[in-house]
Amino acid sequence: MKTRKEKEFLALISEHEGLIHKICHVYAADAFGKQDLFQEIVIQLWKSFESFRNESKISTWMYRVALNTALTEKRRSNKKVSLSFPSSLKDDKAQENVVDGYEENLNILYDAISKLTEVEKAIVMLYLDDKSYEEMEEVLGISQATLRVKMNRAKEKLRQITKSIQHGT
Amino acid sequence: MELEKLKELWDNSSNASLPMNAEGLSQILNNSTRGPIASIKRNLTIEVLLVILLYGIIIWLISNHVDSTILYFDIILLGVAGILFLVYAFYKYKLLNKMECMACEVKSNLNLQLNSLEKLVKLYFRVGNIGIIFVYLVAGTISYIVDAGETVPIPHYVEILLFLAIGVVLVVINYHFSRWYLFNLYGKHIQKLKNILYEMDESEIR
Repeated sequence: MKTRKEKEFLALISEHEGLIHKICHVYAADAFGKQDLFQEIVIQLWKSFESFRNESKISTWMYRVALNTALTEKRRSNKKVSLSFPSSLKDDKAQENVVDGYEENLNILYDAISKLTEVEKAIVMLYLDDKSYEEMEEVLGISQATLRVKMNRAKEKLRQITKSIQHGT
Repeated sequence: MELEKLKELWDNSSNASLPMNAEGLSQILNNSTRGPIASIKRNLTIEVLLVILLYGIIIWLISNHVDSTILYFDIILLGVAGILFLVYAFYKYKLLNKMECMACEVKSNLNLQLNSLEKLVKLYFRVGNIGIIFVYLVAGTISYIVDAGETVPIPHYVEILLFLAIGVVLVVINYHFSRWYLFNLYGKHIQKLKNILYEMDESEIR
């Protein structure tokens, strides 16, 4: 029997699930790691849902919790995770079968992001999600001046990496 | 690839993973977290339960099987050790509860976790090293009381020197083992947090 609060939370998660999947894709090394991280982020969001007072945007709150979880968790990749994870999440093999131009480019993007540092990954993700510097500061706690410097460096790095992946160098 | 193209790809990537059904999500909420702090809390709970169990067994053994002349002394020592352990466990719980703020800004949460984790490691290291000295001295005192009056083939001062020498060796071994154990348990994680924080501050430092 679900409580009203639980229903509210689940609706919220369903609405913003894409954000969590993206973070898992960027920070986890393999399919098991992604499942593990997805579960951990949802649990942490649920735990802090009670204290969420709508003082910040939902996406800011979700990004904070998700990035805090991804950055502080101990990696458990290459280890079979015995949890009842629904099969609705596509695994990497399934994705390989539907590779077309779009999938290929998407893989290049994720491949390039994976070559960035932990902090750069977070900054780039926020940039790609069209977040303002103000919101990035609210999520990461890094001053806007520092963010601008890091952003320029990360964007340049991303451009270079995608170029070299495309050209196979 | 141009950055605008990357943004477009990123926007559409939300659809790359099929959404989970409500049942699946609901199922996740019933699972417990596997985060590092939750694991330390679980380990501490196991430690407390083990100590309670051990205490039960020791008290039962003393009251039923051991010579009543040392009973009073043992109970006092066990009581002191028990109280010290409870103080340690309470302080550790307190530290663990303040260790993370997942809804806070990432940098402040990382700082909080790093500082608390370092405090925790120091506490663990000190308690471990002082604890072994305490346990060794208590064990020595008990065996001295139990064996009082018995003749030993070596002179008394040699017996004391031997006792102290073994104690020093044990303390040195325990010191190095604790360092190695704590580094394996928390060292890599602490270093990872430090690296991330250093990277966050990097431009400000330059």
